[in-house]
Amino acid sequence: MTDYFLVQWIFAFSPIAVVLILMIGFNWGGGRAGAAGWFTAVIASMAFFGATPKLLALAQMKGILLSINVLYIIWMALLLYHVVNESGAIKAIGRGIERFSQDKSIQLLIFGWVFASFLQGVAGYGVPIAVVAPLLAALGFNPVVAVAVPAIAHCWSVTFGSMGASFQALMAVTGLSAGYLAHWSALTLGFSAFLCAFASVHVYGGWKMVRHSGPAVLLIGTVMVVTQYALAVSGMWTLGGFGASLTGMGACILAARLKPYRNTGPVPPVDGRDPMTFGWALAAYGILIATVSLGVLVPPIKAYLGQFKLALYFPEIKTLNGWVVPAGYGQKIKVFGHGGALLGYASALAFLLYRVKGFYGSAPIRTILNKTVKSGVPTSVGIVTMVCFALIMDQAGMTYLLAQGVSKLFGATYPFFAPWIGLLGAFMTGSNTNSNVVFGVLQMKTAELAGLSAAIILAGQTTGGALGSMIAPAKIIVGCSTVGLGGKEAPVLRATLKYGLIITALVGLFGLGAVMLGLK
Amino acid sequence: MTQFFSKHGAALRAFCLLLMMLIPFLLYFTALSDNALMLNALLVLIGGVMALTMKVG
Repeated sequence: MTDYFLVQWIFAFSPIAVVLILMIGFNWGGGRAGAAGWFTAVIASMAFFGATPKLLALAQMKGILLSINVLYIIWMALLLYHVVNESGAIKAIGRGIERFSQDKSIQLLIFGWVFASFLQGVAGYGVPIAVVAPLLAALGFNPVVAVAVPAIAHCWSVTFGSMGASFQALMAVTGLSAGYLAHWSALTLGFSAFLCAFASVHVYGGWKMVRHSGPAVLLIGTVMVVTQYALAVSGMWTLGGFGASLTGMGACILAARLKPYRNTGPVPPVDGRDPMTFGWALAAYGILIATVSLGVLVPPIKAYLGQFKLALYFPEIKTLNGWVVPAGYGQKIKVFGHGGALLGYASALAFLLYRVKGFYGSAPIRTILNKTVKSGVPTSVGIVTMVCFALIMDQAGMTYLLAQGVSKLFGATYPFFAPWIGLLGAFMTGSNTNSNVVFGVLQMKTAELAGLSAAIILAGQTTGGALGSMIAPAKIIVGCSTVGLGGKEAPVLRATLKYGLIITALVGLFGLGAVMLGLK
Repeated sequence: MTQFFSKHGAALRAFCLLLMMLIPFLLYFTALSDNALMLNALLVLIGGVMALTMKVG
């Protein structure tokens, strides 16, 4: 690498460095750090990469279209979660699961792995840790274990969870199709599912507990991983994490009947005063499955809902340094057929059902909307600022230059490092989605320059980004606050960091092995 | 000033998000019409929104 190239590379990296330093070193939130990254990207792109005001303006618009595409799902996923949670259904599901088994390892797997993955499938954004940690603490688990277990175990379902928001972001920024990306992403995440499960039982009881829970992990894991893979490659990736965890719950019933885990003590009685049964609690998710299936799998409905699209045409634009951004449409958004719209329909139907059944208290609409806005705004600010600075870097040719440098440095061993970049992105932004937005194009271009399979590299990126959830300070803080560990996050972070780094290394070796075998 | 930001942080965050979503549409149409003065003014405006976000985001 020449000195000039190195200097340019450092300036191209400066917005990412600023975000990293502010978030890790100064504990800034995603929105604030993203805005600082935006300023750095604007200055660096104009001063060193020849970006013009017109290029910045168009990059901003492209960034907003990408953001809307992701935020549509995020907001509707949050709405559905609050519609369901406000009715008491999440508590009812927790009570239902508790009755499956009194074996501690099975309880840990059911709550920390399967139920947390289920919550990731329908909500995400820290909800799995926040909901499951107090449930585990109430079952008698140590508070550190109660937070660390869901933090570690749910990570494998992050990419295809939250109605596939992270996967949607990956597709949006790279311009690659679900058909191309889903195979390797689902395989790599599936591999990590087993690792996350074993790590979570190891946190609780060491190798003895790993051996004891082995058959259950293999049974439940195989069912969930196969389901997620099938849904992802068949085009129903929005339901990937959600569907996998639902079938996982079924597998838990089977696992609880295996000899080592059978109930030996009394089963907790059903509380006759319970306002909601397990069946009614799951009804909202039945509605969701039906809605998404209709919207995705029935061609006339899909075509009808997809008629109205928001799309903008962008002219070709050049930087003063000669970098050309070709003309074309930005992100197209199917207003009524988008995954977010389908979630919105399901939310409305679930709300009507629970309202008619009398499961809500007074003024539920106001409460649900307040909670949705309260949780949605900070996440959205973070995503918009991050997406916009990532787009400025991309349109000014900064991302391409970064990719050139990385491919020169790592060469053929790059697949091992791809998940580490994803992990870093999630650690710094607290989100798999943001990590994919910031590093997705960089990873794709690095793969292309090094002559590697972009699908395998991007699978490493998104899996690393998913695993980053277990070490993201923002999520650990949320979990700790729910079990009385507020301000004492260090022991939890130490535990999750150790497992996070080991699992990421193994995922890196998985990708490297795939590339060395010549797989595409 | 600090008290104002902490008291109205949530509302200001929502306000910033709204402006961040709306201004790019103006930027897009201004960029297509080659109105350099307006374009620069809007870029300064979104810079101001980002600066506010750095404070409250």
